[in-house]
Amino acid sequence: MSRLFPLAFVTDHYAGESKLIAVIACVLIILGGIVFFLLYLEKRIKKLEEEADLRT
Amino acid sequence: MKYRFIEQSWWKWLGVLFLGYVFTAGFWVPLRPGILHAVPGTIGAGGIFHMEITSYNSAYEKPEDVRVFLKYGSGQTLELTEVDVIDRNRLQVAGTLPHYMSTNQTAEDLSMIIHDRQTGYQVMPSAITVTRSETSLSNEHINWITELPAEGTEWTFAFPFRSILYETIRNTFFHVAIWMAMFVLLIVSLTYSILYLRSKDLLHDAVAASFAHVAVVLGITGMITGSIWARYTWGTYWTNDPKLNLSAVAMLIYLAYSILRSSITSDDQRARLSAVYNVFAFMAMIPLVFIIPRLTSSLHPGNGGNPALGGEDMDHTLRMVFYPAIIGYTILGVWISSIVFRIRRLQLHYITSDLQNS
Repeated sequence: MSRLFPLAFVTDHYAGESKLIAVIACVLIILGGIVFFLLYLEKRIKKLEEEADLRT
Repeated sequence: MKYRFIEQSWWKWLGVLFLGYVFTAGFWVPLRPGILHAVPGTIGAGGIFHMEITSYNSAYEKPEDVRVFLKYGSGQTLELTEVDVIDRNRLQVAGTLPHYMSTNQTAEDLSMIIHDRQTGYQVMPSAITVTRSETSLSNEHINWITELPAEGTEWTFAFPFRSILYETIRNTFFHVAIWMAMFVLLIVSLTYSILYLRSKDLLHDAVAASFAHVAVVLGITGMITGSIWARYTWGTYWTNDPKLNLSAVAMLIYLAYSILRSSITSDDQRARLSAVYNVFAFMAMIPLVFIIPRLTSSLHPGNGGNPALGGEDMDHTLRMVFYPAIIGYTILGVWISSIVFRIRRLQLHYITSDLQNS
């Protein structure tokens, strides 16, 4: 079992160091995607809050 | 001014930083070396034996750097006389096992200890079984007294090697940390439910509902990661274990909270009933998740006598990733909850405006 256990379905295929870096990069990109989606949502909400005069 | 904190961004970026560190270190840091198995697993006392040892993540190079010991009882240690390095992870060893053992058992489990000058100690409890046809009491006991090397090795940032768990110990940063974050969110939700019951402020109810809903999502994510872990450690995605079943019940109780909210149309009635329900749901969760599994036998670490966050499973290297993971997931959960809350606040505002206009 490789150290990529949490991605169990890809485990041993990605056991090499370079592929490990690739998988870590993919995970960080997914995290980045979630973060930018949340930032986008905040931007939209901020606009609506300004329209509704709800800014604190 | 009350909710200004949710519009600030520094803590959100702090959470992202923590999670980036957790994902990188959680995957990247290797496991310490450990013994996987020794073949044959059973040897007879009173003769020469040969054995092949397979280790994990070790880096054997020169035979003179490696010493192998067998141990039983307190301090009964025997050093094997011949050690050959097959490759980085395999050793061929040989030794003479005396007839004498200080027990009357005809079969005794022995621990194996390997000391490598490069990487330090590897220990495997009950690595082999020694069988004896006779329990002779000759004067061979002197063979069983060997001093273990006192020299240490340099500290390296590596996770502990634990039998059965192996690489799955990394799930501590995902499954366990996500559930810890879920508990933090549920405590916030409970607090705001109580605040609502005191103040009757619908914004307090909106905060409570937002945190409870995001906590349920974290809970389900924690169950999925736990289930994948179980598949690789126990051989099945789900088993009839009190900890698993009662955690599922706790999740269902919180899912019912969402159903309850969506089934009531009046804002005040919904807020009042769901606040009371939330208090009871939290009180029900404590015995379901924390108390009952500890009173019964359970496979799950941390229950039924199985260690979890104690010295047996956790060490400082794990904690260096585990604690940031809890903080990171909690911040992410609070961030998502704050967005859900702001949407609810907008809805409340428009509903109130519509009522005033009509």
